[in-house]
Amino acid sequence: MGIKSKLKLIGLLPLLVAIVFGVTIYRGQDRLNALSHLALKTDEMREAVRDVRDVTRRILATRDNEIRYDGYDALEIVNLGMMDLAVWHDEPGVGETLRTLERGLLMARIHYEMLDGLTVPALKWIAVPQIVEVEQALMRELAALDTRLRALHQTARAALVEHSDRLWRREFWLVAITAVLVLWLIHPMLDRIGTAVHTLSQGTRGLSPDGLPRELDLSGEDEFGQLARDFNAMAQRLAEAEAAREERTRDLETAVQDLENFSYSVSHDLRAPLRAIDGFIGILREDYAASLDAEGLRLFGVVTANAQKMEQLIDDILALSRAGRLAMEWVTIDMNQMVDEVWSDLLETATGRPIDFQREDLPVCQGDPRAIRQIWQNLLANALKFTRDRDPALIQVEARTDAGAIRYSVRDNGAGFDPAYAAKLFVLFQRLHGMNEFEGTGVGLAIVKRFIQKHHGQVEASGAVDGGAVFTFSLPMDPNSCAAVANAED
Amino acid sequence: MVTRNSMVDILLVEDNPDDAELAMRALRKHNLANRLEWVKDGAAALDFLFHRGDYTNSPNTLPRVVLLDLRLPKVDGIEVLREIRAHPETHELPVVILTSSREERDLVATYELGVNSFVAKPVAFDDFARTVAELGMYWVLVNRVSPEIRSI
Repeated sequence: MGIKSKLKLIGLLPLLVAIVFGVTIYRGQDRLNALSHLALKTDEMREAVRDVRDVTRRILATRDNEIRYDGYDALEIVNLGMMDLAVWHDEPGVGETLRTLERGLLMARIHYEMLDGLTVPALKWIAVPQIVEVEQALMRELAALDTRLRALHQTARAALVEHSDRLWRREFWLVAITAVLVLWLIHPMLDRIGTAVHTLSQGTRGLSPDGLPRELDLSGEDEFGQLARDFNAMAQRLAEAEAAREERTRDLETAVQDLENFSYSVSHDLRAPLRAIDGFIGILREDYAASLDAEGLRLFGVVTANAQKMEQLIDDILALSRAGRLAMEWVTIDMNQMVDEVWSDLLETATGRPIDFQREDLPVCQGDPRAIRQIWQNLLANALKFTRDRDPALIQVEARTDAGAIRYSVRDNGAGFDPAYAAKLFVLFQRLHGMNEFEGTGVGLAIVKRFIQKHHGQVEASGAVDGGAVFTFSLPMDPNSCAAVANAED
Repeated sequence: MVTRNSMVDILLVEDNPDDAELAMRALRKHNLANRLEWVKDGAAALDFLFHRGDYTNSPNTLPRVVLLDLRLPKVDGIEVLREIRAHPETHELPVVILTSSREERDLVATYELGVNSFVAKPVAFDDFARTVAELGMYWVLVNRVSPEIRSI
């Protein structure tokens, strides 16, 4: 049975007891009233009996005709009282007394009537012995009545007191037993509730070493038992989800490990044969140059150039792989300083052709300095490369702030690209220019895109063939809400 | 065959014979290959330095420099470096990592073990030859080591 049902049942108990209490009080009060009435009545009747006695004496003394009726009235009061008390006839102890009283009253009435008949109003001086006899008999009867009434009165009073005592004692025990009973019934439940709440709170707070909730040790068919079973089922599901997650993590770690091993292998093992190709071609060109004609030397040059191109490819692939694995360190970056440094490094490799470089004042940003530097490096190097034929080359760096993000752009007046293929610009190994036009491996912009994604930003390009190009990347101003910004921009 | 009394200036630990040939050619051009010992794996390098196995007759004097590749059969370069630094008699022996790897983790790991220099092998022949020759000249001709570490 559930705790709720038990509590309801236990709650019913005091209600029942209250009803019983009310009924017994009501009925007990009835009897108290009756007893009180009995005592009152007997008092009244004794008064009337005394009246009869007084009247009798006065009759004998004065033979006054008027007062005889007072005697009858008084006797009638006693009689009415008797009839009033008729309800007590079945009461043990009282009924007997009442019947005796009725007989006594009858006798008293007979004697009173006899006395009334014997005493003539005019003859007040006559004292017939018969009158005296009747008077004495009447007085005896009245005295007996009075005695019995007094006894009855005392009985009633005693019964009243005793009944009242008994009534209140009974009510007291009723309440006391009910209280004990309720406590006795509710105690195991309180105990249960206490234990259950303790176990549940321990269970919800305490975590096992693997970070999952422990199984609750709480049996039973009540609500707490159900709650514990539900909790355990939930913990079970959590554990399963955690296990699945761990498995996925392991798979992922394995994949990352494989990728790292692959990168390492590429980095180390693919270079060795290249070095051998280039190295032995180099020996040939050094030691056997005399026996080679111009075409032979040119062909060796082609092999060497390709070996070096392949090395560049390997380096770029590794750079891309590293870009994906880079652990981000968020700091505030002075973009003006960074762009100027990158630009001056790039200029060292550029020949003395005329370049108009303009940099606006750029706002600071939050990001990983290695990644952001690489982004500028790749974008500015691209701009430099594709403006090779321009006189003067024009390269502008700008920034705009909108919607919680800063949009940095690099604009050039270089070779540009066909906007129809803009989507292919950031794809690995995709190039929009022939090798003989502009050198490159098609990795630089893929790295830019990878780094921008790691900053939860966006990158885009616009341009036209021979119309220059604009590369714009946006970085969220608050990296803490960068996920939200990234979503908003989508 | 080296003997206990002969001197070795350079111990080249390189499993790739092509790389070894290129390196030795570059050194030879500068007359640095005369006292050079080439071993093909890490175990042989340790045997040479500690006079074990096939090298019980290796010279008493330590080389001026060890040119150590990282990826080696049997015992890899990191392990060789750790052994060298762990033994008191070879603790101060100059070790230069000469490897194809450009991985940062290798760089960090070897410097933590106390390597003297870390050089990535250039792929281009000219660069490779120049780099190896410069290394040889610096460590064999320019660099001075304390006398006691030259002899065990």
